[in-house]
Amino acid sequence: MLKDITIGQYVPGDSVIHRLDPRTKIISLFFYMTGLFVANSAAGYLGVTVFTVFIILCSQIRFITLLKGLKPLWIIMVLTLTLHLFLTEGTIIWQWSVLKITLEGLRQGAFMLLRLIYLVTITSLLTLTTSPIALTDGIEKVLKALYVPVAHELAMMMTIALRFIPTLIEETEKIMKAQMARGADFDSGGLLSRAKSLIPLLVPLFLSSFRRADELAMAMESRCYRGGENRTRMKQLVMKQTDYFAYAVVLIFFGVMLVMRFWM
Amino acid sequence: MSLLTERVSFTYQPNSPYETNVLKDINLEVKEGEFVGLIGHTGSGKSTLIQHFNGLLKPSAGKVFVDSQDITQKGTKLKAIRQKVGMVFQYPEHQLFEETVFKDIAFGPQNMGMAPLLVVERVKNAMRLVDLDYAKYRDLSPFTLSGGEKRRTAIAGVLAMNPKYLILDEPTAGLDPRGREEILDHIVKIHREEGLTVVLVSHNMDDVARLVERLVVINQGEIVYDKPTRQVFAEHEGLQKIGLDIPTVTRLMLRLQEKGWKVRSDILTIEEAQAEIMKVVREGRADA
Repeated sequence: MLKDITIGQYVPGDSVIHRLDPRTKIISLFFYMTGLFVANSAAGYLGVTVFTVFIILCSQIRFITLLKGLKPLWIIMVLTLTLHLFLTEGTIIWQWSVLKITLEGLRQGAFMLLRLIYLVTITSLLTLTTSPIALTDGIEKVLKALYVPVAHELAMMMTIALRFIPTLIEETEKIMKAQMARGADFDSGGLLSRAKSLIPLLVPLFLSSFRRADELAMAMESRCYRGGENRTRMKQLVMKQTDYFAYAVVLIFFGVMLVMRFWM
Repeated sequence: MSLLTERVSFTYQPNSPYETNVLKDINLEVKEGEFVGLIGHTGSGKSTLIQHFNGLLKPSAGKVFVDSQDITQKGTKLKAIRQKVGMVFQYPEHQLFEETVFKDIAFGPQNMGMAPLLVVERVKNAMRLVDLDYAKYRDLSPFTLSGGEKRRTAIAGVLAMNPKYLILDEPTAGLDPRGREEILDHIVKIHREEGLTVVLVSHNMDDVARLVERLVVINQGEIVYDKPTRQVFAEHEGLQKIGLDIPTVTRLMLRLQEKGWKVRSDILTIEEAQAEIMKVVREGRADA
């Protein structure tokens, strides 16, 4: 059950997207998102769709994998669509007592839904094709370029957080089993009793997280870790030809979106 | 009356790249009143095996019986099974969560739906079994206790359910020598005086040699040996082949044999070793 969590999951591969420099991917993601938010017409969304499908095909990640990533968001997606459908003023195309659907609402709702889906898809694509270490390296470099003062520390925190997801899942399962052996029941009862039944799970889990954090900090300190100051790295990030090509592609996409929005 | 597995196999994450056969065709019976040791290398499947006995894991194939009730059947009341088969996990103190020792130990019996007065009785009894003074510890926070006390509290939490079978997974891991001794003494006492059937999972050969009557050795998901402790340790070559040690005293006796001493090597405790060496020394003198 807990093993289904896919946040930050990485699928090793050897596609063009996998081989791109993490910095390229992060900056391209920024341009893609801006492009996505600039689009406001059917033609614009068609452009985004084509481009997104193109990237997915390049990445060799299966569509199924991406769809699974969307599953936990279905409530938000349904909510977005319904709210826009029923609450936008305009030409009415369907009405039943106070409920009415407008043409504008349908349009807005569909666009918003697509926007949400593409946002999630493209960000999952980033983590699916970039190993956590490469990703944090890239984030650190990008933040440094933006003169963010604690870039290295932020990146390190992210690495550690990602590193501990599987450990915490394992720990959760262990504690759950131990409490189930003492007759705890996590699956039945009403909302309140279910929430209450989580206490025997959460208290030990918090305690062990603090303990782990403490131990890790101690271990890092005893190996003289002192943040990013004058830190060098074994694997330097190097821009390659494909990276410049990727920038060109994503900038063309961005330009097309701008043109569609403001000059068409 | 027994814990029984019948051709139990367990596959971890079937139909995925991570698929592994953790248990292969395990037939094991633990009879009522026995004190059985279960040893094996890390990853041999011993922790997976014991979780079948109270229904925390379901076998991929095969059947598990608790007192001749098939617990792999659908609709089995697992709560009742878990009351009967108490399970103490590795580092059980990590499961403590309540504000007071009393409340934590009472968690199990309360889950079983027991009346409050009876719960108090159970907690008192469980604390007595692990030598925690009821009046002194009842209202303390479990998190202020020492490592050994925490572990005893956690074990009391399982004992308070009044199980008939007690399964302990590495109960002495991470304790100092004194803490080890205390825990093991309590387990022996619980077995002898309360008549609980005990399954002790361990990879400390000295501990099992001293305590258990019967030893089950598991390697890569299969039972390699299942016989009286003394006979298992006589197979020291076979044990070494699967990366398992023999008790320190047994090793000592083997080394003495190598040096030409005429001592027996099927020795499991320091007392036995002492007696045997004394005997040989005296005989040696008699020869001279």
